[in-house]
Amino acid sequence: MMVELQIILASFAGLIAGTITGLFPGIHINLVAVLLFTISGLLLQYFSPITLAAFIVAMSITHVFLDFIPSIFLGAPNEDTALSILPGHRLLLQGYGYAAVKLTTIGCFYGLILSILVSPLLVLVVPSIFPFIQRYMIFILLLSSLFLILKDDKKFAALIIFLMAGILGMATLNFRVINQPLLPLFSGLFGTSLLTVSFLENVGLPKQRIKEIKISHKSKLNALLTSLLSSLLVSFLPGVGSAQGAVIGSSFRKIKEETFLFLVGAINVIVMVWSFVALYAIEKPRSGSAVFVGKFLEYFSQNQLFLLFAVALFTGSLALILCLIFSRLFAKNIEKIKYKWLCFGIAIFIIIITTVISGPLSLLILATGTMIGILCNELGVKKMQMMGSLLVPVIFYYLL
Amino acid sequence: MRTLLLASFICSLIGLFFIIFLANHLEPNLISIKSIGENKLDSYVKIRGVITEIKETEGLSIFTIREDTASIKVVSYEKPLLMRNQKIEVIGKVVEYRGALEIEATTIKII
Repeated sequence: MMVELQIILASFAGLIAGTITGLFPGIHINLVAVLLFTISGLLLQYFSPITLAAFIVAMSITHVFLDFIPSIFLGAPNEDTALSILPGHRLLLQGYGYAAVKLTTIGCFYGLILSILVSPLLVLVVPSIFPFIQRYMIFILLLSSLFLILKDDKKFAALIIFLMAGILGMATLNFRVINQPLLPLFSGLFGTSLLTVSFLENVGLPKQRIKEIKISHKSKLNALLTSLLSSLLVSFLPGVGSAQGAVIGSSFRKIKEETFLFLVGAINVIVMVWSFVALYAIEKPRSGSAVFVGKFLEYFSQNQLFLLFAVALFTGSLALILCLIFSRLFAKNIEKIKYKWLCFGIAIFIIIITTVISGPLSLLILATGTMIGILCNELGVKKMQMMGSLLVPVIFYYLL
Repeated sequence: MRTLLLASFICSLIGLFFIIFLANHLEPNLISIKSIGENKLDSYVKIRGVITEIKETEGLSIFTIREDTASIKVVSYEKPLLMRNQKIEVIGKVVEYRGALEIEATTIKII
């Protein structure tokens, strides 16, 4: 088969695979990468390496787009989408679930275009400023944590939650007997805690409106600039993920809740695209998907990078449409289920999937995370403080 | 809901206590070097073997350890004092470096 045709087919296959993994609650893209590891030997017998790389890029980009749907509609996030759950869920309870997803989707799409446009600059500039940023990273992290806590209305309670989540994060990452430790950690802090509160308070969902929330061009531009800066840190520094990036970015600039959804979408896509650019520029894979692409393309050429950009743009545009179709479907059908029992069902589902993937002991982390999440809710502290679970370990990583 | 606040606070403290306790006392299961594949990537393992080669560089030591016919490289940033032909037990994370799997050691014990 011609390589061109193979790549187009691979893009469509990636689109389908990414849609499934994205819509499935609680599945992180790195987990998909691990699963792919096991069958890569078999696949290489039939396809050329660049075709497989195209498949992975297509799947990863689609996954990032669709990943926000379970997070916003079902309250089942992973570490990348956890921050979207906060304003997302509030909008869902007001009947604007579709608008919330649309904001993240548009953020994703803008982020996709921007990340590709800026990457030549990235390749030229980053190697020279990289050591500089790395040296001051600890201050950036400490300052943004401090800002995060001080901006909260209840500063003392915010500090308590930040530290408790931080201790939980440290202990979880040192818990050497469980796999994929971030799955129970984030499902607990941001997912099951929210579901439990909704269940206990017996919240009902209003009829969902297929409307959009407009944000001004100025806030879009503001969010895009912030996302560029955050993604720069995330893409080139070890231990900093897109969630920390969003916290750092938003702590230095004033960002409204709706714009925040747009911002998180943009960051997630930029980080994904740049993980492939980083692989090309500094030969370091910065995401599970990039690890794979690196395995297939031992000599990663510039032309191959351009080809992967084209694949990303092509599937990204289709993912945008798919995302809107699926969130419409969710919005129209979610009110048919009693919300209280939907929450219950998803919580059970999260418990099962955590047990299967991370092992029974991880339920202890899930439960403790849930308790801290409920405590955060009862104290009336911003849920963002629970990002301490990732910030504290990274701060220690840079301190030692 | 004052009770929920109190209950969640106490439960989170108890949970944190247990997790910290278990994280310090539980060790990964002992497995054979031969069974380390890419499905173990990023997870912690415990292995045993005999040191066949030692390389010291700035800031880290690399040991090659062998069990039966399989061998793997172990990287340690703490540079423990070890010699060839010593039998050791290593707990560490499976990582990939330049296309090959190796263990990033967190603890090394002579046995």
